Amino acid sequence: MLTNIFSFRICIVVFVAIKVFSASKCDYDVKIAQILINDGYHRHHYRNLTYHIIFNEDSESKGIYNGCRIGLDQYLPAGVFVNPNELNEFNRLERLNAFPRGRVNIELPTEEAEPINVFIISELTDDEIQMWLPVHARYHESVSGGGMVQYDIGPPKMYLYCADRRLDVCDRSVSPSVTLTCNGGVKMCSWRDIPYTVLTDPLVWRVPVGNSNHFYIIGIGTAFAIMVGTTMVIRAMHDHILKHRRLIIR
Amino acid sequence: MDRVSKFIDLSFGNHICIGLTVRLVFILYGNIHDRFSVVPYTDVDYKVFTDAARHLVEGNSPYLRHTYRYSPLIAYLMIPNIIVGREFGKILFSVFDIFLAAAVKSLVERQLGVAKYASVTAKYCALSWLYNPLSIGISTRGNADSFPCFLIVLSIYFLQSNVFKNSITNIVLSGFFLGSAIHLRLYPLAFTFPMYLSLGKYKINRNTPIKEGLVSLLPNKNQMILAFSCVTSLLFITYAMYLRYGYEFLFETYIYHLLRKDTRHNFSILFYYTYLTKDQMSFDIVKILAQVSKCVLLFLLSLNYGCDPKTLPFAMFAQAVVLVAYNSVMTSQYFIWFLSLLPLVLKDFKMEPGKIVYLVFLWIATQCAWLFFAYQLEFKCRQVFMLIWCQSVMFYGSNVFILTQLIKYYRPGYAFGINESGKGIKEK
Repeated sequence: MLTNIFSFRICIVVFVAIKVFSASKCDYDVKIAQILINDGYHRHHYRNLTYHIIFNEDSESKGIYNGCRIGLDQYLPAGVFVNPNELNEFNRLERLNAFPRGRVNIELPTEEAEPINVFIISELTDDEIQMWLPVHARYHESVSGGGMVQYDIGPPKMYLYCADRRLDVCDRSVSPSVTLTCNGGVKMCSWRDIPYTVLTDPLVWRVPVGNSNHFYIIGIGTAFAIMVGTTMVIRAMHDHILKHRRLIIR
Repeated sequence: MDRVSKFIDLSFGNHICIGLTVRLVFILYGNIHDRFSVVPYTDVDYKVFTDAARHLVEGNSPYLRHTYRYSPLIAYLMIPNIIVGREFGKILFSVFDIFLAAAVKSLVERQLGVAKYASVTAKYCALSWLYNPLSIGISTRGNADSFPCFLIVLSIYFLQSNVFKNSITNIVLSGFFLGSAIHLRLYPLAFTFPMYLSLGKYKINRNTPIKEGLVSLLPNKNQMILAFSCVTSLLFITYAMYLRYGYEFLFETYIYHLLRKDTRHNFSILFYYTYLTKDQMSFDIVKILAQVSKCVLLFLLSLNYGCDPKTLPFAMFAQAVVLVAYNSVMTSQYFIWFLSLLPLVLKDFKMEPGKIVYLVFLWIATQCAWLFFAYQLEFKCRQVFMLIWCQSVMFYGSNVFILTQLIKYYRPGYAFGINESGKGIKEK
């Protein structure tokens, strides 16, 4: 009985010591550069939103997160979306592990759509990692004067998960625990929310919008063109039938 | 030029092999292209079909695939994409292309009867489809429209060829294929009227008594058989799919297309107007005008050219042009609706080669001009809505102008002007 109590006290002392002495070691020297590649509604490339993440560039703790899993939780405004079918295809081909949190209707215009969060997961094998996400812009309803509208994409939330629980010793006030899917499935894991430094400016996606002041000119112009076109075809038919009645009508 | 002549003079069997090989090469190219290029060769719909087929293989509804808006039959046809290989569907669509070319040749031959030049004329017509860059591109990119197009040509084929001695069998088959085509795509519904009319005998003139005129409008036996077989096959296939997939099938396959509100840029003259109004006006005079104009033209084309079997293919071709030109959504895949019927009437345009080149150039140039500004919008995010609308009007104008020219130069029975000895121009 005495031996058991003694062992238990020893364990508590060791645990507290690890907690006190190791908490300061998890200083998370992480930097991220977030880039939006190309132009256009689909930005001409499936790797159009890219993240270049660097761990422990200047510290002596290089490689300590190798074997862990990194998760990015990217908030996308209503004007920007991911195509779940496209993500499924990439997931199936094992080129990407990303999925929207919630339903996405890819056909809605901006004003009818909801913002979405997308979770991207990747294995850490090095102190540097490139992650990416195929994003698309929605049409925006026309506004007076036309021009461009702006969709702002902020930096993602970053999470780390190490199966060997090496992050358990880190200070939870610096990196609180969050329960999220382990690898895209239903199984949940306790991830650590990691602070990081953003090296790039917030992303801005400028998309053209129609000019609502054009309504009358477009309406009248379209109607006029349709009337002229229809009249031309009817007249061509009429002339043709009159001229070649013998050939056409039995 | 001599080489071109020698190439054209190859046997039709050789042309079929070359046509299929060209398509297989493009399918292979598309596979490689998609791996390296940022702009995919494969049609986005092909991925939709394949995903829907995957749901079927997993025992689910194809409509679990968001944006799958086709008959489940297409997804069933694409099941080998999952089991055999992902290019299967493209090969199948290419095979439908080849079948269509063979059907065109056989149909034109039968239309021209025992004439010596029938075979040559029919071959030229079939080759115009076999080597049409658009037909090659559309099927090898994985667009399924070559399937309903083939069914439509097959329907005309049975209507106008005495394949079976019993004419009722021919008409029943014609109605069956037409009903199947309507099940797959709604637009062939417009063809039912001229096809129906072509089976009637109308001898109405100013001296015809009213009673006799009205009696001649009553459906005859053949017309009733065509209508019955068409409606029966359409209802049978549709009801079978409804039993299996319920209201979701009806909505996604048919109702969605009737209520479709696509405000994203496309070739249609109505695109910018639809975008500006968001298609939410309770009384939309412009849309009503477009619909009424379309219906009037479809009706007049049916009456003018649909009443005679000889001019029926032209009626259907012209109707397809109108359906595309007046549609509220138009993409390049829609062109196959009329391009698949063009080989049936191509021989009957008595037009100078220079005029043909001019019309083809006009059609391509107005398309390219539209595509240039669409590229600026889609890929460069430039605010060019107004310029795209101007190009849409130009493209609509070119479609209408070309249609008027084709009507003007249409001479049924002209057959490229090849006379019995295979030379010269027939005088009309």
